Amino acid sequence: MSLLDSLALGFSVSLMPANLAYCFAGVLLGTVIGVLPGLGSAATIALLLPLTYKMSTTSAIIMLAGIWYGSMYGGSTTSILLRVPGEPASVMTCVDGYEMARRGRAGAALGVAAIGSFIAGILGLVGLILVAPPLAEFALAFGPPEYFALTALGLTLVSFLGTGSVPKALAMAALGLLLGSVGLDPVRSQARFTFGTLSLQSGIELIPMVMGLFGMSQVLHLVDRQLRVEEIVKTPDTLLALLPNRREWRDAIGAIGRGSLVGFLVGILPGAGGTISSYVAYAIEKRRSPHPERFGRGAIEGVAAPESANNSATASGFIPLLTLGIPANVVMALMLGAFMLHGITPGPMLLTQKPEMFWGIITSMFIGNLMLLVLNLPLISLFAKVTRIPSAYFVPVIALACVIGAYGVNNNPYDIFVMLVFGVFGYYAERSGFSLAPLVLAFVLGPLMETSLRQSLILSQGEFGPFLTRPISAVLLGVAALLFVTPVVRRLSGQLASRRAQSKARP
Amino acid sequence: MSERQGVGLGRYAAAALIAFGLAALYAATDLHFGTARQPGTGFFPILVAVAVVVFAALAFAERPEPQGGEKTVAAGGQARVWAVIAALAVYAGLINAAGFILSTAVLLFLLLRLIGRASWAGTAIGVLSGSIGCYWVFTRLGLPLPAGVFGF
Repeated sequence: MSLLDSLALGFSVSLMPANLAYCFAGVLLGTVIGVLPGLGSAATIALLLPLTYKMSTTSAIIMLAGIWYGSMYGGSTTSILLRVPGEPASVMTCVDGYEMARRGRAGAALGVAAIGSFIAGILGLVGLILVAPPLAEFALAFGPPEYFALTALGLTLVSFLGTGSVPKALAMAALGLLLGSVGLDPVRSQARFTFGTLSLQSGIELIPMVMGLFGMSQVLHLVDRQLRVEEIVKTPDTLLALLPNRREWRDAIGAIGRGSLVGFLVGILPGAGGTISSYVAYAIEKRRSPHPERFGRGAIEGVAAPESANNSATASGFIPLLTLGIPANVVMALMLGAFMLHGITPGPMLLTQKPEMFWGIITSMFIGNLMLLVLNLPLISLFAKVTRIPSAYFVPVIALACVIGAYGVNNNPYDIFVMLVFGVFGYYAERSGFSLAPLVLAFVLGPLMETSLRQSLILSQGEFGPFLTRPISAVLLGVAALLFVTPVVRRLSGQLASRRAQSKARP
Repeated sequence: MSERQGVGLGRYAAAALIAFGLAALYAATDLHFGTARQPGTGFFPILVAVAVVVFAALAFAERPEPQGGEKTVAAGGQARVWAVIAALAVYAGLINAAGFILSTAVLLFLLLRLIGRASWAGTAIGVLSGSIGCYWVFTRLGLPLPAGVFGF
C-alpha cells in the first residue's frame, strides 16, 4: 500500500462522524485542562480511561490523543496571560510570553503560540508518517534480547532525562517494576506477592493506580494549597489583534521551524517529551540569537520556539508506541493502557494487522490540529476565563471522577481503596521530589521487560552473551550503560582536575 | 515550616522506600529464584527489589535539592488533606451498604462546604448533581452503582 493509499484509508476512518466528534471532544477538553493550572493531561487521560471501555479502540485513542496535544495548545494561554503554566511543557513560554503581554503584545504572543503550535504539530505528523512505517518494519526483526535492551534503555532515559534527582527517578522506576511483578508470573503463572488474596491475583489494576497517582494526588494538592494567580493581562478582543506584525513574523518563523525539528527529535526519546524539548528549543534560540539579552524581556522567538517544540514532540512521542510498543512518556504509557484495555498490544505488527487503526489515529491528529487552530484563535479570551473558576469546585469533580472510575473497573469498593492508597503515595512522593513518570512507565513496561529477559536467558541457556553480541541490543544497552557511567566519570575527572589545580597552587 | 523540615520529607520518603524494598525482599524469599539458565518466579522481583533498596539508599545519601524538588508542608493544609483521605476511606467502606447516592452526597457536602467553603447554593447544586445526577447518568451508561438505602 502506497503512502497516499494509507493516508486515504486513515482519513476514511478519522473523518467518520463518531471519530470527528471524539476528536473534537478530546481537543476541546485538552485545551480546557491545558488552561487550568494543576490538572494535567496525564491526570485527565487517567480519569477518562474507564470511559473508553465502551468505545472502539481507534475512537478511544483519537480522543485521548486529542486531550494530549490539545493541552499543549491550552497551556500557552495561561502562561502568556497569567504567567502560570497550565502544563509543565509551557513553563518556558511564561518567560517571554508574559513579558510580551505586559508590553501590550498579548495578542501577538497568543497568535504566534497558536499558529506555531499548528505548524509544528503538522510538521511533527509529517515526520511521524515518514519515520513510523520503516521503523515498524525494522522492529519486526526484534527478538527478546532487543526488547529487553529497549525497555532497559527506555527506563534509564526516563530516569536520566527527567528534571529531578536521578537516584530518586531510578528508585521510582525500580519500584514500578516491583509493583508490576505483583500477581501471576507471566511465564509460569505462579502467584507472587498476592498474600493469599484473590484481588491481587491479576496484579495491581492500572486504572485505579493511575487515577490515584495523577487524579487523587491532584485533589490532595488542591486541598493543600490554593493556587495563586498573578495579575491577569487583558485578553485581545478581536481576531486581528492576535496576528503578529511583519517584524514579529520574520523573527518567529525560523524559531518555529527549529523548534519543530528539536521537538520532533527530543520527543522520540523516552522520558524527554514536551517539557524537555521546550527547554532545549528555548536554549538553542537564545544561544544562536545575535541579541540574547532580548530573551526574558519579551522576545517572540522565546514563545515561538518552546511552543513549537512541545507540539512537535507530542506527534513524535507516538513513534515508539505505535512502532515498538514502548511508551516514550507517561501519557504514552496511559495510551498503552488504553490499547491494552481493548485487548490490543501496539507494536510493529499494528501497521500490518490493523492499518485502518494505525493510519486512522495518525490522520485524526491532522484534523485535531486544524480544529485546535480554529478553536484557539477566536476563543482564547473565553478559555482564559476558565481559570477564574474557584478550585473549590474542581476538587469534588476530580474526586468524584476518581471514585466512580475506580469503582467501575470491577464494581468493587476495593479498587477505591487502591486508588486512594496510590493517591496518598503520589501526593507525598511528589512533595518529596520523587517523580511519578518513571514509576508508571516501569509498571507498564515491567511485564515485557521480565518476559523478554527470561526468554532471552532460557534461549541462550543462561548466557548473557546474546545481549552484547546482537548489534541492536548491544547498541541500546551500550547507550544505557553510558548514561550510568558518564556522571561518575565526570565527577571523578572534576575531582582530579581540582586536585591538580590545588597541587599547582601550592609552592 | 522551615526548609530543613521540607528537606526531611525527601529523606523520610527514601527511608520508606528502603523499608518497602526490604519487605518485598523478605516476601520474595518464598519465591523460587532459579538460575540464569532457568530463571524462576522470584528471579525478576528479587532483582528489582534489590534495585529499589540500592537506588533509594543513593537517594537517601544524596545532598538535598536546593530548591524545587522537595516542598515544605503547611500544618493547616495537612489537616485538610488527611480529612479528605479519611472521608474517602470511609466512603469506600460504606458505598456498598449506604449506596452511592447517600454516601456521595455526604462526601460532596464535606468537600464543597467544609473543605472548599463553597456557598450554600453552590454546595446544594453540587451535592444534588453529583449524587443523584451522577447515579442517574452512570447507571444508564451501564455502570451498576450500588443503590443502597435510596435505591430507585
